[in-house]
Amino acid sequence: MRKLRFLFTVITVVAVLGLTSGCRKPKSAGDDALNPDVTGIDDGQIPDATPWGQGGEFDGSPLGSRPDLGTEFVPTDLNIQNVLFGYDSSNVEPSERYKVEIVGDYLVNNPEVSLVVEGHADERGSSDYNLALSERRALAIRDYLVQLGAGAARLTTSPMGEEYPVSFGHDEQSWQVNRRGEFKFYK
Amino acid sequence: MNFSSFFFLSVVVLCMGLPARAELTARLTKHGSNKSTLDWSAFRVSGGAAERLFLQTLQNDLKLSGCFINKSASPAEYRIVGSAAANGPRLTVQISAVDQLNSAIYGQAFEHQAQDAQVRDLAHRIADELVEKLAGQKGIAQARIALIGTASNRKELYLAGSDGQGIMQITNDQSLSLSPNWSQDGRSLVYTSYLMGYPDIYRITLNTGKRERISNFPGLNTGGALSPDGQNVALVLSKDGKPELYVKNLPTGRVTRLTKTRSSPKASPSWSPDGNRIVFVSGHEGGPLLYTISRSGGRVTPLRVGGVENVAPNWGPDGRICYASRVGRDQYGIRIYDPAAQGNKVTEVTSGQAGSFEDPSWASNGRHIYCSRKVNYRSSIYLLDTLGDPPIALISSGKGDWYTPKASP
Repeated sequence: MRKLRFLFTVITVVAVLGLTSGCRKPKSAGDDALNPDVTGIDDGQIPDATPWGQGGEFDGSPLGSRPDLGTEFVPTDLNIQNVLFGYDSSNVEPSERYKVEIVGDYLVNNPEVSLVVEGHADERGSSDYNLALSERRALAIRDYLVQLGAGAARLTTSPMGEEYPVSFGHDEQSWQVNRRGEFKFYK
Repeated sequence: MNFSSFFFLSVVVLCMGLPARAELTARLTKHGSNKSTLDWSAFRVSGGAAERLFLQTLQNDLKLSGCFINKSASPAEYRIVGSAAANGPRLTVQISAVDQLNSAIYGQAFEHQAQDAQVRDLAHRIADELVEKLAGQKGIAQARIALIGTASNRKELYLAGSDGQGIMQITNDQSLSLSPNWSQDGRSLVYTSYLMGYPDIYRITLNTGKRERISNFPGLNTGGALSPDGQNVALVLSKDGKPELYVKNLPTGRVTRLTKTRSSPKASPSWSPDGNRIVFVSGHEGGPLLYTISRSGGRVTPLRVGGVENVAPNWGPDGRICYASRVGRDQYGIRIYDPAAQGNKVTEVTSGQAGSFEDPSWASNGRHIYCSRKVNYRSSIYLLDTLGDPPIALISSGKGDWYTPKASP
């Protein structure tokens, strides 16, 4: 009889725990059923070790004063491409890094050139938030350029939010190319 | 009873005691507040343009207040008696509101200029007096809406009447102006502009048109919002390497950093009515969510409102916060968080409505909300009623689109 009583107690405890855990409200996170192309929200993930990634306490280098830009020009023989970003992300993806490295090399070899990194976002979501998101993207690119040896003093950011799309469709094809960082050269 | 019966009984009792999955939000089910009927059959208007504009504006204001239904015959709770007549450059108005016991609850006479803008002003003023006298509600007809529009192709700053009429273009910079916010005295606006090539914060004094740049740090300067006492402006700056929330003291110029979080977007600061706290959007926990912080910095406190993405908060005069929450694929709805509510603190304002509602802001009566509504990527300005009346279009997209409306305090 004692064994049975103990068994009943265990079952009760387990049942109660099972029922209460089912009623706990899930933490807010991206609802993939609503938006399948949302990348997983890194709720509770260990911050990225790479300095230019999203997450971690890396503050980024403080922005120096806006450089005296001089005149805008387009470097010839340089393969300049817009850096593309994931939805709601300001991570410079591994597959995109070479685009920043091309510019980094050029800047190291041409110390008289200043650069403005323009950040952009696609049209979805709050326009205020997209302005700051586009700045995060520009800063992520700028931070990587500083890591590559381009002097921080001649690099600045210009966030444009969702205001200047390059593609005007209302679909992922357009949105992907609008989530970008652009390079503007001055000397 | 033996032990096994006790066991089963206790499990049953425990299950009953466990809370059912909580309803996320309450839905507004009240269909409008109590409305008084107004009989206009004893109000005489000559056929001129000024008189007709006056009557149309006044009746529309009274309808938008949510307190009245306009009728052209008895019976009605009040009769509106009087006349409006234009005589050259002057408009003469006599107007009384008489109740069912034949007492005049309101009676005034006016002589006013007869140009459109002045006629509207007079109608707005009388509407507010009637709303306050007859319905005991704060009038919002004399408020102005600051907003962004693309009618001239670029995003410029505009002012409109509370009814969406009388639209005036304020900037003509041919660059990009964004997100205006009012000073508490209703005399100036702060907003973000790319006038000098970068996003900086400007303040414009409306009656003179004079502008000053109040924040132009390297990187991003945006989210300018003046404190209720007018002494400070909340800002989103990225000058220290990532977007954070700051407060700049206007008399001294001193800038204080409030937040220190994982590098992530910050946006849309809005001050509490007592000026002690700021609500804002931050992405430091993954996606855009709402947080509050003391005006002097310190702990960032999440606003427990559920939802997957919450943006564009606006802290209203009675302490409630309205905001936009993602409700479907790229669609947003307007919700209210009431910190003083017992039990359920979140209410949906636009559930069941088609389109995406964004960038809400409170009217000074703490009842109505102005917002944008996007349908097929065209954006218009709407008036919402937290007492359940359906949304009303104020400024429709046409030649351009309209964004981020803010009503004067």
